[in-house]
Amino acid sequence: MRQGTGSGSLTGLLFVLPAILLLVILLYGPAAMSIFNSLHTLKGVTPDRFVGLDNYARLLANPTLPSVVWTTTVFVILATVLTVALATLIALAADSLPATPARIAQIGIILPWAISAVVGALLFRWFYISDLGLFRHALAALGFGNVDPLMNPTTAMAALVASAAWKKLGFAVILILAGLKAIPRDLYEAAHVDGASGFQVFRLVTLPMLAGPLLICTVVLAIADLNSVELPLVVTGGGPLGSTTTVALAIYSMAFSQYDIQGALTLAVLTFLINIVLVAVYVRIVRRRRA
Amino acid sequence: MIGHRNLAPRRVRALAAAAFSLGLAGSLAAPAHADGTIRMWTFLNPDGTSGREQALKQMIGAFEASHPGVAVQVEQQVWDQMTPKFLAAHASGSAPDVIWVHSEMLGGVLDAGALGPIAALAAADADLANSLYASATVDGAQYGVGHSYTIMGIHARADWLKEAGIAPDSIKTWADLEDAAARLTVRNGDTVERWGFCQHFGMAKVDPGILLASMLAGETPAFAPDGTATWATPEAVAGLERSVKLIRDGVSPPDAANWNNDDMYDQFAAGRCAMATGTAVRVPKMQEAVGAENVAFLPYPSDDPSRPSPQVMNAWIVGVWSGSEVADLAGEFVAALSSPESDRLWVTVGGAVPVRGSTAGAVGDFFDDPANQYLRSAMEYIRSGGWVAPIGADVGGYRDDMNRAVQSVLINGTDPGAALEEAEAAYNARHGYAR
Amino acid sequence: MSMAGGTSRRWVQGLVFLFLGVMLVLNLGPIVWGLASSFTPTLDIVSYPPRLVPSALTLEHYETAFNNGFLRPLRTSVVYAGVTVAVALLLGSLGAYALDRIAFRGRGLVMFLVLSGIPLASGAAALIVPTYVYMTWLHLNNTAVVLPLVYIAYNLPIVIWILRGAIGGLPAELDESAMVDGAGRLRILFQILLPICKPAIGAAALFAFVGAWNEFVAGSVLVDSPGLRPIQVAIYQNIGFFGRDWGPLLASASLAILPVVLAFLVFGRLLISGLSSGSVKG
Repeated sequence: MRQGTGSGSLTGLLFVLPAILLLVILLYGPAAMSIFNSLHTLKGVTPDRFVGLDNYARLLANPTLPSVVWTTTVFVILATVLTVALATLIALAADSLPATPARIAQIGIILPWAISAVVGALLFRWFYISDLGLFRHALAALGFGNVDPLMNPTTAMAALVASAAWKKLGFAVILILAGLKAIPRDLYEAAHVDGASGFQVFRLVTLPMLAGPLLICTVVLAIADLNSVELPLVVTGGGPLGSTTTVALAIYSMAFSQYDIQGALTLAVLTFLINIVLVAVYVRIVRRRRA
Repeated sequence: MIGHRNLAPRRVRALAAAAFSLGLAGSLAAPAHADGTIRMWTFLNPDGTSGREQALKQMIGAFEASHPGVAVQVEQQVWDQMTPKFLAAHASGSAPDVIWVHSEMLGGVLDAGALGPIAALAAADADLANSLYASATVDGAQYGVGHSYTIMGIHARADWLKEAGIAPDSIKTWADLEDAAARLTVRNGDTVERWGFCQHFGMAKVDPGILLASMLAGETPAFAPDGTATWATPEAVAGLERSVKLIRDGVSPPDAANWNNDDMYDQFAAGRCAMATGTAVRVPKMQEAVGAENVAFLPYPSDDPSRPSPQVMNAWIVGVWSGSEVADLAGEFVAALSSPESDRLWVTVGGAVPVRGSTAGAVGDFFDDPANQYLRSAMEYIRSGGWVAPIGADVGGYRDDMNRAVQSVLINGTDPGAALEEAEAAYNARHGYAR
Repeated sequence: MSMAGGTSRRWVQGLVFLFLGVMLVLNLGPIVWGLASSFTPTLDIVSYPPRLVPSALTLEHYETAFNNGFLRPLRTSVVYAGVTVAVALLLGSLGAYALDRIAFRGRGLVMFLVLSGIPLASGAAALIVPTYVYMTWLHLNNTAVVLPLVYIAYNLPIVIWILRGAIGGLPAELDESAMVDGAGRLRILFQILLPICKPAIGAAALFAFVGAWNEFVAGSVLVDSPGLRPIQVAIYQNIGFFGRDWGPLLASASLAILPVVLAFLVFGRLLISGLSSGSVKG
């Protein structure tokens, strides 16, 4: 963070005050209440008896937790990397097109992101995964056989990762495109004058200038994938045998399938706290880079 | 010099937007709770187009006409969030007067003291009595009445059964079912175009079919009164093997290991299944997709041709909030929704299973229409085989555990007995039940 | 002087088109399928084998969607989303500017709070029951302001983050020369810095809009009156207790995409405008 232009600590605080007030009251308030609730037993949904960290102990002793954590890690990493890589390529490609084709391409890319989450997931499942869908029908007609991707943990995870990329591509493309558009043209001109090849321009001009948006994109996508419920729920159902059950789906199942509201709340709070740790790590890294 | 551009309008626009929303707040805030207003949460929308919603609208109209000055205000909710939301509203003192609670969550709701007794309903009412009605009876007072009854059974293509010369009510034993399924399967070279019997084992609250039916027909109760599970019984093992054999014989789809309920109904609607696990309340949607006369509803067979296997039945328990300021009025409304006249509307306009025993006789030949026969089958099955988990016991998640056992056998080749033991152990451990 | 020959360039251009074409087909397959199915009669929507071209066309699902009440939640969501975008951009610009340009005490903490808001907003659905109790305690439940406020809070972190990144890319000389001319901070922000950040503003506005438009859980839990319900809840009612109504579901979902496309056309224009050189000098 750069040095401020002149003093004005009070002005600074005033500028951020409305935003911070909103965040604290509307986001952090319920979070604090949830943490408080997670330290008690629940009667219905009201805190009843203080039990300290008992709920967390019970959660950590749950034998399915390690596999859920592992599945989530694999999913988040694969989905984020795939989405960011594809989005960068698409943004670069769209950037090189004249205005109208670029617009049309962009609208096409953002439509899956623009459609509501559940409907999008349902359509992905219907089209690509179900044997009532065109994709498998076409593959079978072309002679590839009719294989259900959900019968096998690896292909099921691949399907889930693909669905996450499909749904979030629009967001990533817009973010990276905004970053691309903000690169001053004279930097490119200077590079060309110096005789840099296309690839060198990309490596020495574009990529460093894109570092910011790429980082934001990666972090936001990772967090979004971590918390996405409708994709594992609708696309793979968490199967086969729980091999695509992420933390978010586990929280949902606990609440709505097992009617264990207490467990769901505890896991949700734990997930949030881990998220915060990851964010803190990110902030540390960035601060060191800037310093 | 940096060019100036007048950007004040944007700020002004933002402030205007904020002011507008505050004004909106004034005009659209929830109306003050007027005397004689009954707030109800349900998943139905009285202004909606479905039969049940139209029936509800008529009942509300009739009630308001007979109680001048009273208004019934329906706030439609999303059905799977409604009960937890109600508990939260109860905790904050802002719950609606009338609430539809899913029967499987009734225990928790009663425990939380969220429902109040309904004076207008009698606990001993023989016309309304059944095990679900009894589950809402506490200390002789009635705390709710079931609506939208449904039971798990078998959806069958009546047209294809007829083609194959199989009478729907001739499927009384497991052998009959296996035989019918084999005869109804249609193959085209290597691919199966039509499965004889579709069953699904996904892990998102999918209702176990053959396994659960076999288990419940056995001698040992699947659940002890406190909820402890005993699943590794010989009948259950036979049921699991039966399920798997149908798949291995090519009569039931192997992919279905991962189908959830909606997927199954899609497959049936697409004409992939001659028979399938299904709940009675979804038959109308299937009729829309394959033809009103082509869907029959069958009970699960058993080893004994004179009795079907039991299966899960549930309903929405309509009750009155314990903190309601118009509890008596709300109670009268709940009773009105369950009156003989209203029940006839639910059945004939809404296509619902009757709530009252007397309604079946009162609607004359309504059930003779081929498009409505499923209601009669469902009603009879509820009476003869409707099973409810022990009242007050916490059996949450049992479906997922059972389906995991089936998946384990299908995908990993686990021995059925071992798979059931594992599932039972996981379930008991999660609930803290000792075995 | 460009060394790349004309053929090489055209080859690359062709590859770009091919790549984009493949991506578009893969991307749009399910969407086009959904759209086509929304015009297909119920009897044929789910069928085997799947039909590329619908057997018949019908408007019945759109009729059903309208009769079940679609216009009212549509209007409500437009208001919610519009307010969210306006307020989030306003508060977000102020916050972003301060976080980048002003060394105030507690800046690090504020930045941390903002960033941690992202997982909170993303995972808010899991905490919706405590949120409900909390909102009732604040007497905000079932009011017209609760959803806009919540949506603004959900989307502020990313808006601030994007705008701060954009402002951070602008040299301090811009501010300094303006200050020499006697401009105050607000003037610098709104009349000098933000106009150059058009792509970032476009992106942030679009994210805030879609974030408010597609939000479902808060919209179904925090409000009850039909007049306050957002569009997603109306769409979701087609996945009811009695089964999934593909026809009206797809019809209402298709209609609901249109405002997002519109928003993209509006805010996306900011995205297309590149940064012209020369603004930094002088």
